[in-house]
Amino acid sequence: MAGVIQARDVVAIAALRATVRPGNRLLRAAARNPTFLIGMLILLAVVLVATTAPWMFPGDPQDMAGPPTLWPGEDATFPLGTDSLGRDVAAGLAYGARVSLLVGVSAAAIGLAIGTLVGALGGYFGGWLDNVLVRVTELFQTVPTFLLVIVIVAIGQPSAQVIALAIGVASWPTVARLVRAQFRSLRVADFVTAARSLGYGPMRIVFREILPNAMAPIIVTTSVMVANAILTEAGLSFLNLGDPNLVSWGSMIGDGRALLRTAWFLTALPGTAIALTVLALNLVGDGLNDILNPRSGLV
Amino acid sequence: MSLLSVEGLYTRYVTHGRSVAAVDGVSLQIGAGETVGLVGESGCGKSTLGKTILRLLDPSEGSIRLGGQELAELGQRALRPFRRRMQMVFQDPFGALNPRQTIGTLLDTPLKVHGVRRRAERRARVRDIVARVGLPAEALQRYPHEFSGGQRQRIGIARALVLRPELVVCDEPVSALDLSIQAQILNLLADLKRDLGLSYLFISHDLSVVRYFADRVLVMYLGRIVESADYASLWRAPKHPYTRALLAAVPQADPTRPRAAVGLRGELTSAEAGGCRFRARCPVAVDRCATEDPMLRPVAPGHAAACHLA
Amino acid sequence: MNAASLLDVQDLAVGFGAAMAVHGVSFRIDPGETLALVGESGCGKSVTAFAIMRLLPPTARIHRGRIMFAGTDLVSAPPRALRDIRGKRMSLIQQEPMTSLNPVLTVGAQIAEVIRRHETLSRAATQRRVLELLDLVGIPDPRHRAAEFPHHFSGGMRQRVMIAMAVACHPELIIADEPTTALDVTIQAQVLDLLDGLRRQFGMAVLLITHDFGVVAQWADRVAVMYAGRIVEQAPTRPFFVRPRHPYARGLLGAAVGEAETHYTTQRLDEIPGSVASAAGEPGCPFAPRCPEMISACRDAPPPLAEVGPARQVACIVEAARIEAEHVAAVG
Repeated sequence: MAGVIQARDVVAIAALRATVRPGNRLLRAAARNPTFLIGMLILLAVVLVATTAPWMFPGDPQDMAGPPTLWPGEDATFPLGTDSLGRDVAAGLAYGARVSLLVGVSAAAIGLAIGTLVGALGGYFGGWLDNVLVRVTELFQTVPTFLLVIVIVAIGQPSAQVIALAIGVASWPTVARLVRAQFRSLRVADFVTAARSLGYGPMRIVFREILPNAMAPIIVTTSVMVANAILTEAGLSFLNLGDPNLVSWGSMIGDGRALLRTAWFLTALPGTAIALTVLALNLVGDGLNDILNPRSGLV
Repeated sequence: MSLLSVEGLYTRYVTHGRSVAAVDGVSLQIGAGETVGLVGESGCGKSTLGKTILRLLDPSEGSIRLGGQELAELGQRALRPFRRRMQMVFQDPFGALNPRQTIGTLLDTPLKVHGVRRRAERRARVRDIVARVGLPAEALQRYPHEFSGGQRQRIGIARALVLRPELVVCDEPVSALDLSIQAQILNLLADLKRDLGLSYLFISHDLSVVRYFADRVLVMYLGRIVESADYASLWRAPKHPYTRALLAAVPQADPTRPRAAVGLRGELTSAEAGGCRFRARCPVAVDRCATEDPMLRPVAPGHAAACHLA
Repeated sequence: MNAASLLDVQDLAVGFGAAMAVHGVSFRIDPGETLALVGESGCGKSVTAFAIMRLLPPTARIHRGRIMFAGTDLVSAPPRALRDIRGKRMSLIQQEPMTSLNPVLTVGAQIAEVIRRHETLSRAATQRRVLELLDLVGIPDPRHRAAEFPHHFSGGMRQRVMIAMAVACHPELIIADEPTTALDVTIQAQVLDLLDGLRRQFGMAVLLITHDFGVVAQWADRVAVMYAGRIVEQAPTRPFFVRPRHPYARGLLGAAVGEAETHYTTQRLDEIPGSVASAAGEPGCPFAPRCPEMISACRDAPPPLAEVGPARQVACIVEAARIEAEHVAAVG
């Protein structure tokens, strides 16, 4: 039949378009992007340190383990030295990595969940719902993030979970704005109109049709959110408003502040750790932006 | 009784503080097994009309009856059973398919949503429709970006037909396709109409295509139907000056014919108050045209025009 | 090659990375004539046009060939020389009127920019010329409209502004890339009429790129049909429509819903089966898998563009043989 497309025509076209699944295409683009790779490498190193902390440094990092204020390299058992209370700095960095990553990731996840929900519903439905949600978003945005977190933590108790929750609650507006913009533009796309014409309900359209196509900028923003969460948590701990039972990079900087002129490594080392991790996350975010952005020409 | 009957339909929206009627009082009928062509230039409201009929837009006023049932006032939930009976084929083969779904998922989901529970039955129906639009079964595992424009349009047609509707609104289905692919798709649409007993509302700005493909043709200008006739009468003896200008402007692929006439002055502007809305561009307007708005009235058997001089 | 040609493209080949978009294309345009370059999407017609203007994107490369424009080879000309030619002796009208004008400059400023780049006129003289041009292209009330921004103009009006910019310095060649595809049919007629009138008035040549055979029939002197990066037929317009020679050209004309009296109830459209990708990666004629005239020799090598009559060329071994046989029969 003249009108029938031969299988070879489908394959020929697919071959012309690098016939791999969208996922594989992205993986290959990711492998070619140096920004992304460097960021991922550093991140993986941090994750590795965080996961192996209990094995590498058994015991409580807040225990007094040795003589106070040892410099890095002075004593082989304490490769990065000890602080004014004799606690192992290396152990502190490793356990601090756990805290930072856990708080960072969970705070970002909470912010992502709330922000996506608010943005999606407002962006898709429009009307009075959107108006209300936009006002709520603006309200949360006008309050300075750090102060809001302090207030929430003060209301609850300063545990890592509450801190993560507080940061998540303070950071969702950025995601919400982004998601709302994506949904507003995608809801008039033909394939969404087609879904409506097929009688799909709004929930199916929001979650199965639009959301998978809106993910790219959300994914990019997530890495930046994790970085910001880590910085916020470090700030809290620095001010002694964090979880007193945990060692965090921020608390290490706070504790080392008094000895800044003599034992500056006590602030420099955790500070470097924070800087490196935040840098890595930003690199990953930039790299993802290039990879996932169809106009960059890299996919 | 007609399959589709539209009476006095208005679709208004507010822009810059003014109320604009994209569909400004349209009535039409589509019978079972009939192809009605809707032709007009950009901004005339033909796409809006198609979407309003399918209740993808809400009408401001008027009646839409599908098989005798009134649809204009129904809420989205009440409309769901009717969605099986009327579907749409879109213009842009690249925007009309969800880039993140395989073709198999794209065709399976409508059946799932409309209550076809058994997977085997869904699979059989999906395979059937894919074969009918001329695609091989292995297309089901692939993603939209792996297909050409013409192939994607076939997928779009398959999606519209998988629920076995009675009425299909085709919104410029071949305008974005190459000439040689246009012919394939038009032939396919004609075959499917015959095999599945469909009715089409065929919307296009391309008069040649509409002349070939439609049984009856409606000409639209600024939200209103200005002429309505069967395809042969429209081409042989157009009664409305706009139709005549449209027909004259189409360049013919025959160098011995005289050049396309530059019949109309100026460009499409929004409707002015009072009188015929076409008079600003009309080559034969008279005084009456400035004061009295002509109604669409029969001027010959099966032929209606909205012009005082018809 | 005619020594008096204005534009003489010789064996032009353009590629994007590893993929070739134009496989050795040759044609010429004489002063004052309109050549239509016809083909479907992906055939390379726009790439050819941009190559002639040397406005290809950085990922494209001209692999070989010469583009002789009034004695200068544009392929090897230095950027300075090209900038002097563009806008003054050769100009471009693009398809999409919405995006081809700068949205933050007034229309008058954009036309004036072209004039000032290529000619030394006083401010007042430039302004006068701008108003003359707007009037020439049929924009009413030029004095006021020159001070307006593109978004105040409709599509057809914007295209007229583009034409005004294109003819501002009386170029010898205008390349019009699907100039009316994005416009309504009633506006299309106006714009093409305007372009043709200006062409005659200023003695310009036009390379008209289009997919619409109606436009070709009405406005072109000669036509070149492109398929998969190659010219497959070249002929003067009338003989082409009387008897298109290349099977692809015949198929396209058959698929076009042009003629009156054909209706779906009585006649199917002539289809060309498959698609452009059908011959991907294979040697031989790129149209072979879709061609009703294909013989086994067609799959060996791409057919050369052969002279088969006065100013007539076809790239098809079957057709070339057939024409040869007809000549022999006529003579013998």
